[in-house]
Amino acid sequence: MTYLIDSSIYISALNSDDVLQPTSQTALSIIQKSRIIVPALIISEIITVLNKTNPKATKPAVHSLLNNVVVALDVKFIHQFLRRIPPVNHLKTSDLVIAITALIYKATLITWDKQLINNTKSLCVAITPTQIKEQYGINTK
Amino acid sequence: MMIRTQIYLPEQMHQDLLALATIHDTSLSELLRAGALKTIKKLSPHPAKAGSLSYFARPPKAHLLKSSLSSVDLIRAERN
Repeated sequence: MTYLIDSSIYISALNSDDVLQPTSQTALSIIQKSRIIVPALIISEIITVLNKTNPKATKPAVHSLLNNVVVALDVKFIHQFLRRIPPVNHLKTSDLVIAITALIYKATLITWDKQLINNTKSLCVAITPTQIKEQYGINTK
Repeated sequence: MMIRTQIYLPEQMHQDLLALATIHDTSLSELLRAGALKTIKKLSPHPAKAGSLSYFARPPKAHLLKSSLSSVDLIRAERN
């Protein structure tokens, strides 16, 4: 399986005040041997958020992410984006970049963001970490 | 196991490959397989390295952040 993990999951896994932290961490453990697609945009968002909240975590987080398949916002991506952008959509640019990256790489998008799940339905499969746990038969209670 | 397949090559490329196969004492098929292998290595995305997500699955305590905002809201604040 190929997964594209949204920034909300990575940040949730590091946020000890987030009630979803244990589920985020378990889902990441479950899929860590899968092929993980990481858009450069997501790395940029994580750098921005961690720099504001706990800068100690920024470098190790980035080094960890760079061990996966990183998708650059380059000329090749722009051409693929242009071919796949839907004529009508209500997505913000960042959401669209993430959804189209998932589409290009045939990846399942994992996110806590309901807005992202609802708005990307026509482009890619999007699920929550809770659904990952259910798919792998891990008790979610 | 090998799969038999059929491909079209430009005439000049075909001639060049046959000449190279003779010079290097190999076959046209072997040269094409070597070229295909190079293409696979060049174009395939790098496989994930072990532990590529383990930092997030088991972060060190000192690297945890504390935010009253949900993680979705933290990211939405950057995106919107």
